[in-house]
Amino acid sequence: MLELFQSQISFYLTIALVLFVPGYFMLLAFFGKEKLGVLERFIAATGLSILITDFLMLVMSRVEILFTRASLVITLLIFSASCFLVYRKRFKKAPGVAETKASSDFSFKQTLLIILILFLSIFIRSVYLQNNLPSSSTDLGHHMYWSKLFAESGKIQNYTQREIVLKDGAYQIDAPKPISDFVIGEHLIFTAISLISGASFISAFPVSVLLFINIFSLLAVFILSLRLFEASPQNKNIAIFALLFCGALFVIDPPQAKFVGGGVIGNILGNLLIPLTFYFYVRFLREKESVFLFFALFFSMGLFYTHHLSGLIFLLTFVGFVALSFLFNFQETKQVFFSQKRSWQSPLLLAFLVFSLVFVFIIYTPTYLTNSAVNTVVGAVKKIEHTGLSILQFRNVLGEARFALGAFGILLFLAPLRKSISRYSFLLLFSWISVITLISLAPGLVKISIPSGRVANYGVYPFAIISAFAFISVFGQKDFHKNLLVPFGQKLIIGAFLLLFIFINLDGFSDTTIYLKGNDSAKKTFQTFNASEYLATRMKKTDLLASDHVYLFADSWVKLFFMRDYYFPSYRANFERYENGVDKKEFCTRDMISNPGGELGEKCYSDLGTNFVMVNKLMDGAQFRKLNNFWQVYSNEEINIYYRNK
Amino acid sequence: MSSEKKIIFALVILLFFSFCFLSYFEKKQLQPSDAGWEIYFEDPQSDNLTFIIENNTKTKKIHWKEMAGESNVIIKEADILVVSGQKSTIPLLNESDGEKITIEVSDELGGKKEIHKRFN
Repeated sequence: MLELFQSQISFYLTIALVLFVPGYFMLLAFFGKEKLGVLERFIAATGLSILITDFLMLVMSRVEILFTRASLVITLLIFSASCFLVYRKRFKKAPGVAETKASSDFSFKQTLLIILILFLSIFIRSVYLQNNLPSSSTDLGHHMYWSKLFAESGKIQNYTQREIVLKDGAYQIDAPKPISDFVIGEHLIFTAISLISGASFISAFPVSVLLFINIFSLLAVFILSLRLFEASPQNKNIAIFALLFCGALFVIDPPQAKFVGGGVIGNILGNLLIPLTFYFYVRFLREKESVFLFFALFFSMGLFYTHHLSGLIFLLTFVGFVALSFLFNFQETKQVFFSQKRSWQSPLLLAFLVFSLVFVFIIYTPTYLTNSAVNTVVGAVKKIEHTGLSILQFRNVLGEARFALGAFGILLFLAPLRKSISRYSFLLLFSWISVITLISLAPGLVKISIPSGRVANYGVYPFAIISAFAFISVFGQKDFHKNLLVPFGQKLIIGAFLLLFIFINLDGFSDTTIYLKGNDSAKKTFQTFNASEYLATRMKKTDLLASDHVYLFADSWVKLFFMRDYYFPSYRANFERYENGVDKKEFCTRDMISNPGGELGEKCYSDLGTNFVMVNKLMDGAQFRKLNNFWQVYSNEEINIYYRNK
Repeated sequence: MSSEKKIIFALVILLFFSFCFLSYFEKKQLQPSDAGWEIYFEDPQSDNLTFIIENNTKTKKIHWKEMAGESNVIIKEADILVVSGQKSTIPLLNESDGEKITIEVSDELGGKKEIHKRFN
């Protein structure tokens, strides 16, 4: 009990140290307590801390300081203390006096509503996630392998993978080749948290961290909405409804709890960093202070070190936003670009330029740039899952209520109804929504080949904002019926409000009732972990294992028990991957499980030297039981392990 | 306390309880009382037939049989008690003359598992 208590305290302190403290003190050093509200500072600190931890660890790796508990704690504390000293020096004269200047003061009812939405958001997610413990998702297993590798080796390793190839008539495992599937920022925070807190990678800790980031991404949307609609007297209500639409409704559907449980780390981080990046751009455009631009650029750079797809979505939105600004807000944009020279030439931005160049060219270049992975994304759309969604599929991804309100919100934007909304806010939201809609529905038009479903999930956040805007525009004002184009009676409007609100909630919570039913995934995961542990303690270095992704639960976690290689154990992939002619060009991994006694299966076992195989006993046990050279050496509720006795 | 600080305070409390909740369930899932039982050879690669029964169920009474050949002729059998969360090692000597040896284990609810080695 004491041990559990200690491990919990250690974990919470680590979360604070890695995901909050460095960012908080850096914000203090640059802004003091004047320009960011308490809540804004609190939320932005999380995203910033993730980037700072990543960058510090990249520097540590470059100068060959090993990642250990002590080295990480000292580095993070030195950085935070330095920022604190700068803050004390810069803001000595007026410590903490102007805190309320940038703060938003919410009414009692608004505060209560925000807390209620947060409660629902966290509660439903937690209930859903308890069914996913211990973690079993494929993506999270792959990611945690790299985080664990960095933790065990104390430094960053190259992302490489080995494959089975046919050479000179014999199958063999070839030399490691670089892979572009992973980005360093997806893994370093988990390495740091595990090393500092001592938490095992095979535990609830990765899911808890992802839940934490996911909740802060909702709050990032909240503070972004506050600033986007700052000119409107309803900005707080819009922000609250944006929080409701992306936080408490459709709680389970991607990119929410399902992505958290599924370990879709890049998207979850991207959904935190993209709104925060836009937040600082919006502040810069409104207040024209270079310090905001510095943070906007810092977050932009951080995105590319964290997740390539999120970086691409951001980049396209940003380019679209600049283009739209020149087209529809020429005077102001011209002024920002050409008349605000002082902002552009500030020492802060020059320092950032030097920092980013040094970082990219000397410290660490993201692997997807060095591996030319960009070429695989830009160009003709080849894969079926990259060819775009139908409108119906797109609507289902966004949620019917959000989609309908979002579409209505765009119409409201286009109508000359809202004079109180800043043009930049409108153009940014319009660009954000347009880019995601375009790549989701018609990627061929923009020649970008990335999974359409994944991109559509990014639409949830801007659609939530614009839905909130639409909802409040219609119902959120005392004399709301005067705002409508058609003068309906007040009773009719109240009736419509209630109907719409019920529809939104029914639609938004419908997924929850489906997913919150219990399942036996924990029991199945337990079987895989036990079987893996059995093998990990008994296999010699020369022994090789074949596993199965089709019928084994949590199979991607098996490699964490061995930590030999990203490719170890080799595994039978989903059958369609052998048939599409693109993903799998060898058939050893398939036949060693599906047909171990066949000619190819036998040859693969013989050439590769694989002598252990782990399979689902019901689906694949039969073909091994009848073979004389396979011993059934282990059996649990789900899994049999066979030893091939040559 | 300002409204923003109240929101932050509530958020920290909610996240704290959520993490405690997840951590509690994780511990519970990792010490299951109904995750079944497993059997395995202590040494999977040698001729040694010593095997282990690891019990993660509430049932205690377990029956095992050592059988020879394809017709499963019983050589030895016995009942043992394995408490939930514990394991029991059953030492067996390889006395086969080049045939298949199967270990079949069943619990009192009728659940059955087997492992085998072949020496021909």
